Amino acid sequence: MKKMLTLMLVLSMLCLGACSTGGSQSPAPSTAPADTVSETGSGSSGAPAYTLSRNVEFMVSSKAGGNSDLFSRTIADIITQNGWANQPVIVQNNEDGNGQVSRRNVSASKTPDESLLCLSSGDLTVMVTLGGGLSIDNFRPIAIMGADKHLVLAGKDGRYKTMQEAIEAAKNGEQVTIGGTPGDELTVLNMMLEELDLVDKFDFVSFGSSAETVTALMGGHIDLGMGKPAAAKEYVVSGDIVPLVALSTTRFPEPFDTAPTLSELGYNDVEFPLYRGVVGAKNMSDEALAYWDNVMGQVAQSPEWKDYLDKSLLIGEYKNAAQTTEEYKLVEQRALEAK
Amino acid sequence: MRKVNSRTMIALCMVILSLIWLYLGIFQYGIWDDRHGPMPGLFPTGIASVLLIVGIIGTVRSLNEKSAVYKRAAFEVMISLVLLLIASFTIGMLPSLLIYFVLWQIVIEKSSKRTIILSTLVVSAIVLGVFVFWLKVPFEKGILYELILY
Amino acid sequence: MLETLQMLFMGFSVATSIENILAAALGAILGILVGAMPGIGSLAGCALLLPITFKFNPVTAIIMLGAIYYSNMFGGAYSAILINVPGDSPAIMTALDGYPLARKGKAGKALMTANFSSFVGGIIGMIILVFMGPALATLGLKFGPSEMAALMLVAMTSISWLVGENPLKGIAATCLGMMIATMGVDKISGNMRYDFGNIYLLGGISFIPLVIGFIGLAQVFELAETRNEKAPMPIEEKMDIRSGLLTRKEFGRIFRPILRSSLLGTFVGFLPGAGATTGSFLGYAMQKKFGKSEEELGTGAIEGIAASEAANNAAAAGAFGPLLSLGIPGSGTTAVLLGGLMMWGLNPGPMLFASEPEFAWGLIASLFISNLIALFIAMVSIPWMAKIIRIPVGVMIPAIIAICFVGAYATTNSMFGVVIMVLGGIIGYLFQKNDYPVAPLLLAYVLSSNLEINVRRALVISEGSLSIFFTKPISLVLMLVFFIIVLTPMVRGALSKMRTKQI
Repeated sequence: MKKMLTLMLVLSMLCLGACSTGGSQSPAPSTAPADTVSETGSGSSGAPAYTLSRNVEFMVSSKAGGNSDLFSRTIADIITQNGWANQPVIVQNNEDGNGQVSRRNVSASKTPDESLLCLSSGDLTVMVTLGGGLSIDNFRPIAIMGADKHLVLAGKDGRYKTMQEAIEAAKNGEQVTIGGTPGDELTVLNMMLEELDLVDKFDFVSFGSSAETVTALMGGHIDLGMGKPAAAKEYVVSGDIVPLVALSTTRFPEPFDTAPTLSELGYNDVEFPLYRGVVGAKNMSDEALAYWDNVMGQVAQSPEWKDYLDKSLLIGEYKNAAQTTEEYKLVEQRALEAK
Repeated sequence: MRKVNSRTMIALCMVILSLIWLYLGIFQYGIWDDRHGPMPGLFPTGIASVLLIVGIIGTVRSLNEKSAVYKRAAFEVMISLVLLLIASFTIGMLPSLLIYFVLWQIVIEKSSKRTIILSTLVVSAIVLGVFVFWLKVPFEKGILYELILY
Repeated sequence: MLETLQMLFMGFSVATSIENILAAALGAILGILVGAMPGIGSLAGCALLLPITFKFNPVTAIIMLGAIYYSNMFGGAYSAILINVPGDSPAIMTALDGYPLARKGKAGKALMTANFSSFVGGIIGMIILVFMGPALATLGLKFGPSEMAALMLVAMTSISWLVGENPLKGIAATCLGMMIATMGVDKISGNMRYDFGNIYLLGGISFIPLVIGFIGLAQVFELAETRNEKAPMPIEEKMDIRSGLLTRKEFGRIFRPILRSSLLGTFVGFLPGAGATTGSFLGYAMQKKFGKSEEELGTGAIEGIAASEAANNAAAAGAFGPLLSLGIPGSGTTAVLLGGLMMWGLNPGPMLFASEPEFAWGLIASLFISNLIALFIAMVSIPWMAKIIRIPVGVMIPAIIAICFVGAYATTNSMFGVVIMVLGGIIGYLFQKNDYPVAPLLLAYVLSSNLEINVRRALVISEGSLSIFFTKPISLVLMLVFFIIVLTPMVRGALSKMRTKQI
């Protein structure tokens, strides 16, 4: 009797295991279309054909379900659905050492042509300021696929109804508290304060994410907050949060269009876009780089990507490998200066 | 000369740890900044101070306490854990676990063949079913595997 | 009120479509399974399964994820009770009484208590969610840095109730837990702390592998040491549902703990940043302090199991509150769900109930349903589960080790987690051997980073002045509670000394 039960238990486990592979998120190797060996997507203008020799590992240095993770999985899915790679693209998460470990692993990967890393300019800033000796030179940037820009927000019952008021108050020596994340948001805040000639006059309260900043604003615990459109949109629509300033060269689309840019207020515009990009290993071959450059370009044009940008409220800024390299070098420089 | 027992050693370790934390907290991370307020070192320093006091008291008290009794069985477990770790790094986690599972039962438990086979099947079913097939956890493959592959 | 009920019924009609019921059932089964595995908790389970659900339609997908999150709380209790390896952090407190009870031969009762408490806790939590959700969520918003810091202080006092006979060792364990929590990147300044130049330590010590090692592996050590001495475990005569059924008296005993813990747990779940784990800690601690039980808590009292399990399910329900009414995640797992919601084009925020009522109420209704399904499955599997106790120790030891290794790895996708687990196991063993209490270290770890972050934020807002903790109303109240709790024993002690002197 006991044996029967155990046997049934074992069988049901195996069945469960087997059934669930039906819903797997990464395609099994056998489904890779055989005819995409040399095609890198329709309309590729003379891009070198490239054959990948093994599974592509797309590393994400933060947890599953987060922004970077969804970003990477969307890219992987689009590539797979369109058959632009002859091997499966598998997204993997590894948060060790605050992300440094997975970044290091990719940079030194023994299979450079099939190793990708999701690296945003925020990640890059963190990477060069923490220990570990990593720099953008350890990677070959492939593409920037989207950007987030920032806004200064206030709660609807906050002390300051416009940015002017807040600036005045700070100049008068009043305490102005502003919340944000200690990475990219702090950087753009400092840039803005420099422009406003208010360096060190705002008290920065650090939060773990834009969602936390918004929560604190809604509770009236801080006067102002740095935020990105995706985190704040619903609250602006409902009226709980008011956007005060757009840190960009143009106003944001609805519902943030009521926020002026700094130039409209009489200053120079300040912006520090959070770029979301993909980079490859240092030793990636030139052919592989050109291939991935091309593939990412295709992804950026695809309707599925546009869909993702809309849903996640990312600005669809695409930069190819050369431009990305330049851009990320600038980001790194700024990060090291600020340190 | 009173025998130094494990209780003393543990209390001493705590003292040492708290000293390390205190040192780094005060000298490297800073305690207070007039402009920005509390610094990263504030909290750890406060806690480490408490631990230091407690640790010192504990060390003194422990000299009068009897040592805990350790059994050989515990060391067997400890050693197998360490070996498992090393093996996982070399030949990969799943193979190491399998080998360990079977070996432990043969060598230490001296279980019957039937028990060994049955239990191995069940545990493998659980591990493979839940973790490998369903959750698709990318288990450590070990240095050897990587060496062979590349 | 009437309108709410109407919406709820509408929700039920959505939730009871065949597709959605199947999704809920599948979610419930997966959740229990995942919950029982040490190391994989609701966070990992939801995160890993999130991408699969992209293929479904949003309502079905979130129903399945909600079911997984929920029934995780049921599953975590299983391994906690049966092998003293908590399936996930909310189950740690359940193990404290669940395992001793199982060792006494009453595994069935323990499991039954756990399931029943989970179910009732969940129902209470959900009822509160339905009727008071938005209001409580708005209240939760009022908890800013100073309020959260004060709350954490109160929570830390609850550690003292778990300390046991030797307060000095308890304090040491607490301090150690807090110090471990300081390792890694400092969230406020972005600087590294106590990483000793090791790239892995930049991320700090991951909690779940630590728990698995500290409690689970340490358990293995104990099994190994005592395997020959132990009298054979008393076996219940009949391994069926009937033997696990609680007597009327026992139901009576757990009634109040469940009620108290559910209320506390729901509220904790609503608070941003506190979830099922904190809920179960506080629920258990409250039971220890205020509850009466026939047996000592910690030796196998069903009240302890009831308090912990009711609280963690209630907190899981509570965590949905801020998520659905304000779009703010009330816990780590709901943060993952939030990401999923955004991907499906549903933007959680204050407008969610208004713009997507079918979805929001459908989800709430389905939580009730998954609660029922999870209860049913859990009950049915009790007799089988209880048999696990009978597995010979010789098999249990390697089996537990294997599953712990696998679980620790799966949580972090890295061997670092496994290394932490092994170290945690060795240290946990040493702790137990030398009479250092284990629970305070873990509790301190969980609470202290929250405490520190909020204290520092509050101090920035107040420009360094401590008065902020006493001028804001909520935090003033909490600080008073804190002082009362801390000073009462001292005052009592002093008073009784005075009295004995007078006599």
